[in-house]
Amino acid sequence: MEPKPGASYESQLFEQLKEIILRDDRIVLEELKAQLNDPKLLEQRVGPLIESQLEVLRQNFPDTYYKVVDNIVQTRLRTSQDEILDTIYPVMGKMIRKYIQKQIASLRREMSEQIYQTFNSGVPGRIRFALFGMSRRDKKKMFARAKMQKVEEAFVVEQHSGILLGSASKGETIDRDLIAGMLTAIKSFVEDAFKKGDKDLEQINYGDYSIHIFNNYNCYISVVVGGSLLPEEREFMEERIQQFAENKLLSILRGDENARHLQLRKGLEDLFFPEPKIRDDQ
Amino acid sequence: MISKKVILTGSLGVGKTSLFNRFLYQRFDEKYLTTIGVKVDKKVIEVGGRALNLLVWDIAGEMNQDKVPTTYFLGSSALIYVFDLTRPTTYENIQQDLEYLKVLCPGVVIRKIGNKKDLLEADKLDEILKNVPGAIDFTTSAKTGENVEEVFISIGEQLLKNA
Repeated sequence: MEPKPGASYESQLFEQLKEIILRDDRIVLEELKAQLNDPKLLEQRVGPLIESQLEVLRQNFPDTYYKVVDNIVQTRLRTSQDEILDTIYPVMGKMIRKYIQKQIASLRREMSEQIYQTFNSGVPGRIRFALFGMSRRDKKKMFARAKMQKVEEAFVVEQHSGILLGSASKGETIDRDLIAGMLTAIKSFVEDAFKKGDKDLEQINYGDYSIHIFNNYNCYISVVVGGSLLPEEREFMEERIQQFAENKLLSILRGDENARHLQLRKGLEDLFFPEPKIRDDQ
Repeated sequence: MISKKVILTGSLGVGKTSLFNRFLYQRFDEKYLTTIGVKVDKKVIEVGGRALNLLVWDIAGEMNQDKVPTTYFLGSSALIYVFDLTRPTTYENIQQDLEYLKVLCPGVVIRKIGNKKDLLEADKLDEILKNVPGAIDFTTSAKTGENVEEVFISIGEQLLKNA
């Protein structure tokens, strides 16, 4: 080390002494500085320490911070109760309704089978006599017939144009022309979107109702039913509609255009909302 | 009463829905239009003492073979092709579009409508009309209602004449 110009002799000696005594420490200090300034070297030294601390934290987190987190969550739940309900309720409501619908459908299926079994084997007298000779399929159909009573509305709609040709309903409904138009638009959209061969849209479920679509050559019949239909019920309904199409619909559509609406309403009412028959002994 | 399906088509943002709303009393929510790309409404008009039930389908967005289900056009008796008088891009393909629609719906009554008339001065409108390919049937303003009713009456007259 060079003596500083103007420095006293003692201080120069002191500097030389420092140089001699602290040489080793200075080397260590330089090494440490190099390690601190080089990220790779620093990572090699510090990395394992951080990892071990993180592992400790991971293992002890539930015990150490359980109460803190629990308090935060509870406070948040308490203060945001309305927001949480607003978010969850629509989803929960739909889920509960779907679950109930499924359970009811399942219950109906079981009841249907049970009633069929009872009538098939256990009921004596007039009923068994009445059912004697009927095939299993016919008996099932007999019960499916009861489902026809659940029809709320029926529409005959021209394919593609969506023009309502005729309709019948148990009660008042919004404009039937619009229903027929929108139903046709939805049907066209689905059939065009999926383009699965020449398949047609057959059913739409809406809340507690199901809309069943039965396609004919140039028109389709749409039936709104309370609840859902079992396969045999739909099959039965399809057969009846097919008969109606063959026996009445074609001749009505070919006939007087001005009388069409009235004739179709009468036909649909006879099919779906028949007047109760008066027994001879009444 | 005779019922007929009428289609409203044309490029995006030309004012089809505004015309639809201007002419018809709106009963279905907008979401029907955005969900399946079409909104259906009806209006009964009287033409020459006869009532005619027009079922109007407002088809959303672009008049494009890939974007709109072709089945929406089937069974229609009349077609209103709407373009925006202030945007040349909405009428520069008018001839090709109409040729395509004529193949899709043969024999259909077609009306070509230039909308948003209210945004233009008379001399500017004349200049634009010279540039539109082919003849235009009506220039309308859904905003002021100018000529909107006339479009549908004209269609009604033609439909009853053809019936």
